[in-house]
Amino acid sequence: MKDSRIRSILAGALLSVAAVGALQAGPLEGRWLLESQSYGSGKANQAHVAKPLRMEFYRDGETLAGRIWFGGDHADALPWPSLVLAPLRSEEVVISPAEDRVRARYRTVPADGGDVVLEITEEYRVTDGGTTLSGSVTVALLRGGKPAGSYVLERRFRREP
Amino acid sequence: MTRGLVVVGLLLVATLPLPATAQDVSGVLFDDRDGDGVRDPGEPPLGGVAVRLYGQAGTGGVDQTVATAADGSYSFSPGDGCYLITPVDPAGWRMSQTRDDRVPQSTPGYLHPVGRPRFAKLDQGIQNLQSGSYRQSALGDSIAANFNVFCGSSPFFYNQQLQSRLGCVSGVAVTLDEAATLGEHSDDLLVDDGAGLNNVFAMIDVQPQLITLSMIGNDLLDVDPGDGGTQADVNRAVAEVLDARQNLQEALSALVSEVPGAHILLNTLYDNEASECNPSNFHQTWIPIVARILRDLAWGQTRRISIVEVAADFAQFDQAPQCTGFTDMICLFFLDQIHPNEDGYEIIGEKIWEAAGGASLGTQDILSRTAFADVNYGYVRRVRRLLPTEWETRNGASVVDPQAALDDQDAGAPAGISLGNGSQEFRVSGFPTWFDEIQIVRVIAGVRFRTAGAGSAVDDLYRMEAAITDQFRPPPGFNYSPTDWNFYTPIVGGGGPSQPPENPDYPNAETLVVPNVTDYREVSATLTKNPILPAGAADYEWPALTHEDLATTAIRVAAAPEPGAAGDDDYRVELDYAWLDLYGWEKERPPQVQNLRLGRIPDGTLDASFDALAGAQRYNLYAGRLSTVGAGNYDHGRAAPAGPFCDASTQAAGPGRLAITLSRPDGDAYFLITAHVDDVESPAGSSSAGIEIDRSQSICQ
Repeated sequence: MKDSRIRSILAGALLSVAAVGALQAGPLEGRWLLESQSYGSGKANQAHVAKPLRMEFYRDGETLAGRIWFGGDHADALPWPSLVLAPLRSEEVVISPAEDRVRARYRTVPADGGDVVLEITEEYRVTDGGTTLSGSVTVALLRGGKPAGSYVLERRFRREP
Repeated sequence: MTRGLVVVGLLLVATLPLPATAQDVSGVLFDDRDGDGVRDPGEPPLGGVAVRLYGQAGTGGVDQTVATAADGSYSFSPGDGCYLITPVDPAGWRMSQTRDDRVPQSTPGYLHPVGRPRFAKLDQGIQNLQSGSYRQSALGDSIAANFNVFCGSSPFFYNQQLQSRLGCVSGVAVTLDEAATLGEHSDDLLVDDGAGLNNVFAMIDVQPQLITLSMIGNDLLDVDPGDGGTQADVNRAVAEVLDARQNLQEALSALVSEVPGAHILLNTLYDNEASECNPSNFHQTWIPIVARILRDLAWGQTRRISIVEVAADFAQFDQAPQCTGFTDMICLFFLDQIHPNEDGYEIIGEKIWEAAGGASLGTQDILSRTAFADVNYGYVRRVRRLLPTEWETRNGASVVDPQAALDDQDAGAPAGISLGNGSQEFRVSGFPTWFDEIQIVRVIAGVRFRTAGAGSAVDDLYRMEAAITDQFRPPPGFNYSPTDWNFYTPIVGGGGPSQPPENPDYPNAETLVVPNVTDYREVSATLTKNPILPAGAADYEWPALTHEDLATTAIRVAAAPEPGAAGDDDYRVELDYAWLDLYGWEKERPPQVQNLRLGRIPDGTLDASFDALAGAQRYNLYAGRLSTVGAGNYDHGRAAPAGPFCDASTQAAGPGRLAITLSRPDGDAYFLITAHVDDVESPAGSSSAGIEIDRSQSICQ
């Protein structure tokens, strides 16, 4: 049940953001497997084991683009960053192959009459000699335009062959 | 004409004994002798207790009160509608905890989202609803905010559900303050951040009638050691849990005293990492302890707080086949993996409704149930209040009139305590231990205090705590384990700058919601000790405190945190008195041993003979100085000139008679014989005025 839920969530995503990056071969390029995800400074690994999150940065013409999917089959892959359930408005997407880092900041668009917006910031950097992509995801809730709390997920991806 | 007939018919129904119908609410009130909220065999009924049912049926308002029968039972037949069930607490009794026992999902009637009903009640709820306006506030973390953006339902779903149901009960428009926080910690409750989010200060400002509170999960998440954590990681996590306990005690006690019209509903913590299908050792080990900490926090306040048994009911889903049960309640979206999904929040919604004593019947119920049986309420009786008999200062604390802290009958005369920097403190102890007929189920430690002086608490932060040993904190380098962590019970004062030093969230925040207490304030907490985990057992056992524990229990007022600079010496904590309330039940005390006769044996020994007492397990002989008796004092106990001779050897001394032989003490002496029946000692005797001889001298426990 949980697998089908994730699939349907991704299928329902409405995307309005684009990932861009000046093409330059570098350690960002390639496929990454989410190895660990923890809350704040906690160490408990919340990463999905059965259907792990994968992210890939690949050449798309003259730019480096990103995509994400669950499990091993990337047929359902969506451009990075992607969210679910609601349209997104991109605030900032930076893929910097030269600096081995990526950053995306985006917001959900509230439903009609709603005042709840999520602002999500993903930041990753290649470390450990190019074998690890590590960083954080900050999920902040805004109600009526005012901050209503946030949480941070620390993430570590492992490079896949 | 037709209308008249209907009215007559209704009157007839109302005046005739009602047969069991399909719209019943029924249950039993009972003396909960182990305090677990479950009616166990042998637990006596509580008859003659008023139980009120208030709400709206399809035909109009319902407001009925019945008295429980001799067997403790009660029932209502109100018809389809929304109701609050509210037993009226018998004087001297306190509702025991909400049941937290597990039951397999295969049990008939075990259906999502209800699971096992776990009822409490909403004190002041009916009265507040009848006042015509009712304000409900959601306080706490992302669970309080019903954070579920990634998996469906709208924010504040379960609070809105409660709001709607209370409106259904009363017809009154219930307003809801939707300003809980997301991803915040227990010490955020104590920080007046002015951000417009609900914390204790906001609650004091708005004075709601109902506060729902969910908080502690993030404290734990941020220090979660995972399964690869070291002992140091575990130590840090446990320190954070204990710090959260302290924060919540300060928050809850402040809410109880500063928002007097509110009833509080406190969620226990569910944890998908603690399930049998996600075998995280740390979570499986510690989350049941966190749940117990929350239950104890709720139970021990001066005014009752309802615990919402989220943890107990979520735990049922661990038992689902193939480990799919619990995870089906969690939002498994890749940016979440923590929060409940709609199914999970529906469970919380039902548990919070049950904790309010809510019952929806027929079309109003989520499962269209038409009857509620076993809406049972356990009670525990306050058997005795114990006052301390000793005081001491430590590390240079200055105290004026310390003796006043031992006396609750001195018209509010306090001990004036001035605390400077470092580890200065004032302690009271010496709680009586000789009431051995009392079977202790729970103990509440409390203080009555105020502050005084021209200074302020800004640099004179203080805490009040209780402990069952002299050691209020673990020694340096101590390694916490699940059965060795509970060094003290917080009563007053929270986290803020006294966070564990490795995690100073708010270095400049205050530890006290109300640092300057101008009028006397009473604050209390459940006094607890470490759990035990018998070999091979799946669940912890939570032993009640013993009389031996009370012998070493102390309550202290301590400087906190330990500041770098001395405080304002003009600032004082004035402790009127401290106490321990023993809740439980009493065995019958045996009668006095009769017909004591002394005989002198030629070899100089004495022969004390007496009537044998039925059921006696053992006999004790006390000897005291005769000179003390004239002044109304007795010294046959700890200062005895000889003995005492506990569990003394006896010989037959004729029909129905026994004798104890002893050497004659020096000087004139008096002698007393007591017996233990069912481990309760008989009175040592009475004065000519019929007043029992000082029980503190009976030390053969």
